[in-house]
Amino acid sequence: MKLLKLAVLATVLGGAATAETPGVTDSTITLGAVLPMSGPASIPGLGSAAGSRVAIEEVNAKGGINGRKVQMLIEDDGYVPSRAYQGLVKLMDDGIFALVGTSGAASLVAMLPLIDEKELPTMVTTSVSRAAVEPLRPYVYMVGADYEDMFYAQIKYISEHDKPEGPYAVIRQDDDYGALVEAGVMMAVEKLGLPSVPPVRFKRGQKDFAAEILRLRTQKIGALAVGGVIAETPAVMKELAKLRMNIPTANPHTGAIGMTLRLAAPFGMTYYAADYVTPIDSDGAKTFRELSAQFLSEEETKSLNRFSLAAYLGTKAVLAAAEMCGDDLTQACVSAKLKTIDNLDSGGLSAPLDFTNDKNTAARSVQVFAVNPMEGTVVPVTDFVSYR
Amino acid sequence: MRTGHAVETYPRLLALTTNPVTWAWVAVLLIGLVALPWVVSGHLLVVSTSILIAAVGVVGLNVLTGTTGLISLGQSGFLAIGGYACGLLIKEVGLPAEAAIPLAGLITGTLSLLIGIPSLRLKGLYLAITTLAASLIITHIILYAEPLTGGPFGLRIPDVSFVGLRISDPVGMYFTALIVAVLVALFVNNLMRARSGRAWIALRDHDIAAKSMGINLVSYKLLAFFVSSSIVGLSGALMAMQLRFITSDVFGLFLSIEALAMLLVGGVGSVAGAILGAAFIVLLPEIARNLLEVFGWSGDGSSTHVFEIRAVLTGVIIIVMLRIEPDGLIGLWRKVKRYWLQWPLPI
Repeated sequence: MKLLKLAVLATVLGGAATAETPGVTDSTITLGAVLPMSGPASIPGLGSAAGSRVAIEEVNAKGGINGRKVQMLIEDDGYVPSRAYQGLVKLMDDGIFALVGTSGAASLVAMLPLIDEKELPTMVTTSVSRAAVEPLRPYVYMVGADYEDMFYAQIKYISEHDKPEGPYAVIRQDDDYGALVEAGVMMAVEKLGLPSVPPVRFKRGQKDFAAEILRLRTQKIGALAVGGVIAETPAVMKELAKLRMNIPTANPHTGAIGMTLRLAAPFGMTYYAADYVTPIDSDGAKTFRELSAQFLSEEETKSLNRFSLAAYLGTKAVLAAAEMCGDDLTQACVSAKLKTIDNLDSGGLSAPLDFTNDKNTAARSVQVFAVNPMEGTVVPVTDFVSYR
Repeated sequence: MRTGHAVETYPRLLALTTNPVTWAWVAVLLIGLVALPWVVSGHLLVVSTSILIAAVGVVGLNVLTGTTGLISLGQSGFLAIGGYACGLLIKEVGLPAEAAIPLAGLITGTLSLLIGIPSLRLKGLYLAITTLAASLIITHIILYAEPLTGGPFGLRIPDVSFVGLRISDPVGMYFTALIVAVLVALFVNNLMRARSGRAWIALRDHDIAAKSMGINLVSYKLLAFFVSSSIVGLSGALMAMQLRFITSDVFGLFLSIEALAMLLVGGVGSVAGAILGAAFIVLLPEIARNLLEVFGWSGDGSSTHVFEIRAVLTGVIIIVMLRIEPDGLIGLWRKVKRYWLQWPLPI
């Protein structure tokens, strides 16, 4: 009888806990995402949304999380931080269990105070940002290697494979992202004892680099790291081609997305890029492409890119943590279970996911690619390697 | 019913309004604004706070661009100065928010004189480009002054209280913004009726004629720069307090364009128009969202087009609005009022 009473009490308390958990009903779990879904910055937003949807539909096809179907609400911030904040408030009003899309770095920092206040389980995948994990929060997790590591990996590969004779240079935009690119290159220069020239900074949004590249040519550089976002890589390639500077260049992960390849193709230059997820057209992403074909509309499939893979992995991890919580589906439980995720199979999309480290960050291993825009190929030239 | 308007004494001419009905409506509006946090959702409360913050900034811009006729695209730079000044005064100096917010405004106003003095000989598009360049310089300085501003890694603003209202609490932040917005609206409305306001209008309409009447163009232009930028600085301080974490990206160039759009849509030269324009532009995405939801298009991510359609719809509404009523929302309001007062006679 006593046991029966305890069981009834536990059921009532368990039911009450679930009823009070935002975004959870008896039949559904609602995830939220604030992403740039419109305007010029929509490439990562649309890609991330599609990636998260694949993870959600994959789980739903298997019966959901302990019988609950998963759904997702998206707010468009247009890459404007104040709108990201408003969007997150809207999602919280509507009731979300966890946040699986956090837009750009500036939008993320605008949302962080609110995330802190509500201790909302959050998975950062769109834009890797130190602010998310420094200081460490038990409810904020991230998928992705530091930009420093991505550039360190490429400079190391170039120094071992291409062995350029001239000094190493970096041209980077003047923001937090650019500072990390420069730090990665300088880390490689120091650790590997490579010659270098002073870094060149440019105002974000600059699209013409004729003067900068001409100056670097006079310095007889042997290799160049390009710390731009998307259009900067083809713009630099154009200048290098014009000046016949056939030197190896290191680029951000966006150097390997379709749009950058199409823009860079006319200049006849090959280059390197690095990422913590495998190229979306590679064999490693075959299973993901098959799942996408199964679950996404034709319109959504067109928006798939490397951001989709990162968002897929992040959402998959959140859903795996929710599964682990079983009937105790609370935000605190999911945050705690995420911390225990170690060696979660990424299906070859990245290194296995491990959040047990001191940065709450998985997929920190980096793969270097050889990019040939003329042939439209992105070929991994290294395995996923951790530099931490 | 009042059908005409005549005043016989100077004090009545300088009064904010001579019509008791107007005061009654203002009281109703204020009661509505005070009651708002208890009747709207959390999201709409945050949107309302954003409207108030934007309204403060646009009222400030209106002093320079609408009243004095000096076009400025430097809004984002002045907002950034106000935001960072407020953040640093709270975080590094340890000042209370009650002192940090007005001081942030004064610092912005003082620094704006550095741009105002060399810009005295410029007007029209030349001044617009100068102020735009100034805002680029400001964000550049913020980015490179890393030891002070946090540079590219931003500045976190501690949770503080303003007259007992916690800024981390959406209701507290709303009332903070409401108090500042009401004070700014009263201040600027009074200023418009004083010598300075009339001088600004005179130099906007014909600067040579204004000079011949004894108005010191240099002083009044600089005063306009100072007052306008100080108010914009207050708006920047409120923005920083609402977000509680700022980087130079928060104060992007887009804000300057958006502020001008608010001014044009609301009606250039009017405080009420500036407030209406701010409310309209901030609410536009919500209006577009609701319009699309009527047609069954929601933001559940199942369609990648819905967000683009929403963004395009926002632009279309602005164009249609300006096409229908070039004098902005305040022009529309005046027409409606005139129609009501003169009915059944034609306006």
